[in-house]
Amino acid sequence: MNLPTVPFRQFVLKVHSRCDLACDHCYVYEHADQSWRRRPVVMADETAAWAVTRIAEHVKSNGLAHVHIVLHGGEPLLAGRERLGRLITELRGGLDGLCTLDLRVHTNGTLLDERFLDLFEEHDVKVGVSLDGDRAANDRHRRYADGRSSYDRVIRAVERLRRRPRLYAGLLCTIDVANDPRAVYRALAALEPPQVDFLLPHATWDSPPPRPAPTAYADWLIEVFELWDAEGRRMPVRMFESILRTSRGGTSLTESLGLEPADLVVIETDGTYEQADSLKVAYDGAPATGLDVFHHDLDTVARHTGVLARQQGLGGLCDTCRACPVVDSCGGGLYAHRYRTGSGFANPSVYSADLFTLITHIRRRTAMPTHSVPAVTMDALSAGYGGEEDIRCLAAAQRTIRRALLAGVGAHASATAGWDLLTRLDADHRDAVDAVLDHPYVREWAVRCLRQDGDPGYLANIAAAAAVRAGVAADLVITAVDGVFHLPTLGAFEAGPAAAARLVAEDGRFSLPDLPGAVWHPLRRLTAGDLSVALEDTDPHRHCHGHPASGRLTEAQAAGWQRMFAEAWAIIESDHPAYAPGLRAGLTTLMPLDPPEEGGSASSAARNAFGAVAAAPPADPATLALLLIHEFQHVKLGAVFDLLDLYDPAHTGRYYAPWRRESPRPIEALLQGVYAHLAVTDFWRVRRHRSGDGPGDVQFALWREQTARAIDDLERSGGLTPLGARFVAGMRRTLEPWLDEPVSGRAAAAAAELAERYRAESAAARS
Amino acid sequence: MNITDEKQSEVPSNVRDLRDVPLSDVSDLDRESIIRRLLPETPVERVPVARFNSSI
Repeated sequence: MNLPTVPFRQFVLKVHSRCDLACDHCYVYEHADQSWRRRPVVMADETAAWAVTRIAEHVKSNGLAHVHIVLHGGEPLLAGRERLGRLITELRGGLDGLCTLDLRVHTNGTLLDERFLDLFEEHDVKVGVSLDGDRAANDRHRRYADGRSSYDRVIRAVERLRRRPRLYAGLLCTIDVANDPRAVYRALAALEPPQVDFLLPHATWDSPPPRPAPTAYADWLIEVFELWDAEGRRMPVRMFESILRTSRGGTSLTESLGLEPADLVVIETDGTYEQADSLKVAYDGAPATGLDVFHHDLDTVARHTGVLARQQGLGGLCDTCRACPVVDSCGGGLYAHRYRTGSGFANPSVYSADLFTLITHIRRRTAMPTHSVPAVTMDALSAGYGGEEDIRCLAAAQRTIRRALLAGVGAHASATAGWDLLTRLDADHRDAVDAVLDHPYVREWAVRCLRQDGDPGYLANIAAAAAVRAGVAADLVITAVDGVFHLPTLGAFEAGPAAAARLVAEDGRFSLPDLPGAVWHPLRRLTAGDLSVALEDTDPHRHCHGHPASGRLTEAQAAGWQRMFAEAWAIIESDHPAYAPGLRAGLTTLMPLDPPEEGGSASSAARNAFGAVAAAPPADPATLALLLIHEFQHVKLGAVFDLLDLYDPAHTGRYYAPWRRESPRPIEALLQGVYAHLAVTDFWRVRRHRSGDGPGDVQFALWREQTARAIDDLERSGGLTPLGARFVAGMRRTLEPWLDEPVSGRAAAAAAELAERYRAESAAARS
Repeated sequence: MNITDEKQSEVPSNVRDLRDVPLSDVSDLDRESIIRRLLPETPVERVPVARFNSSI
């Protein structure tokens, strides 16, 4: 096995190996592993110092920005306040300058007094408490050796913690299906924990849990889930949240679910490293590594075969689990729970039936509608076209995407004013909000913000624009970006160096009362018959097309674009009518670019700007028609990519693309190029028959051949999903008849010469 | 994450339809799910606490 190691980010320090309770379900003392009997009662200072040294080394060698350390036991508070204080000081001193340290202690709570809490407050140590529910549930197992209840002491400890909310990490409840799930949930919820963990009692196939019904644990948890859901999910329940997250492609919050690689290591009181604590339930010595802090660094531990075995994700599971439809949430359950003598850990969890039932129930109860693409729309799009309904289907999903992105930015503190106004408008003036959010560059701005490269304060500008469109009164501070106060879909104020300005809106009128000299540049529109698109030359987020955007156009320049656009649209409608309905439904914005210094044409579409096409002033209307058709292909396919997986994102193949000769292209880019050049070929197929278009024959011959070859590459790539393969087959069906259309020998020879030259240029660029 | 199944007449996506969800009600889960799909490199989903959760 030669696999990259996963650094540890979670460290469990066993600071004391004994406990003042004698819970009969405890995995440390009551299960197979009895190594606690051979260990020191408490972690010595020297051992603790070595542990800190090893963790610090590991943080440095792996460049870790954030680690979690849990002080655990036994009962860690038995180590005493002074010893714990020394350890915590050592941890803070050794790690605080290297990384962010999340430091916690898990305790049974019996000894948690104000003096311990003062210590934890001083060093920012959060506290989790084990409590199995109401008195009856808790006392079923959690008793002293003489049989006394621990309940009252633990409740008093939790009450102390509630008075120090900064320290209160949550409650951990081990399930016993003999307990009343509603009573347990209500008892825990009444303590207002910031988080609750429900833990399946540790068990294996050799030592299965008590099971009064085939899915007793699922049934118990489902009853809790229903109550939790019905009461508004008042507190996070880590198991339920993990199932919800993993069901939507996210990561699990707990080691007992999900497919994430294990990144946890235990350091025992004697300084030995152990694997997952829960492995104690499997067999005597199961968690052992044979390594210790005095002689081995943590990079060595990370390469231990037992550690690696818990990092294999789907590949580390048995066939039954791999074929299971909920494996992405379940992840095979806790590793220890899979153990059976003979087959080791290559089994489903002993709780497999429970996990399947619970996950399936939660998924069914929380199902929400998703977007879908009609098969006829996929057929139309894969053929290279797409009518009004087809493009509206893609545009509908773009609206979802923009709303989700906006909600992401809205969570930012500096976006609060804009978010408050926008959410109010969204409730009563949804059309106005949607009209603004449909502006192509809103998504580009939101993406920049989420990449920490944009100003969330611009959300106020978006909200202001929506208020203006809705005719609602508003008074808020908007933000200047690149020297302009832009209001998407309306235009921009040019107001000198001011970074922020108060905007007042009422009845659709608006002004910057504190900047009376501000010059307003309204958004202009290009029209052609009943088609109208924005001529966007002020939006500060339009610089996402890979070419320099024009500044504000003069009236004469805008008039020139109007003439060119009207004539280009006439050409599209008359000569290329298959593209007109899609453009009519989806093209909302034309963004002028500066003319390229090297001459010729320039145009672009941007993945985050659905509906926008950027173009430099074209030589003639036919060129603009070609650029619009070409770039809108990218717009369409980008929107398909947003919704559906046509290729494997992990595919690493690179392919020659004659239209981008500087370097081989990844599969996504090749798909985009093929889709665009399918339309380019189609354009020249028609155009070559028009008088005065000399190069048409050559262009047609060139691009049909090059596109066909690129389709071959796609089909052979091994990187397409089944849906992607179907999409590419659709493109081929459109192209194939064109390969038989006659072209002159001279045009064919010129096309072959160009193709050869392109290949040579590409080879030269790579050498 | 891959959704390549096809029903008879529809190709389903795993992108939740949020058009009718008020902006103020867009859940963290749905928001993060979409952001993760579009911007897989964006750290929208940090696990805030240790995943370890053994009781004592």
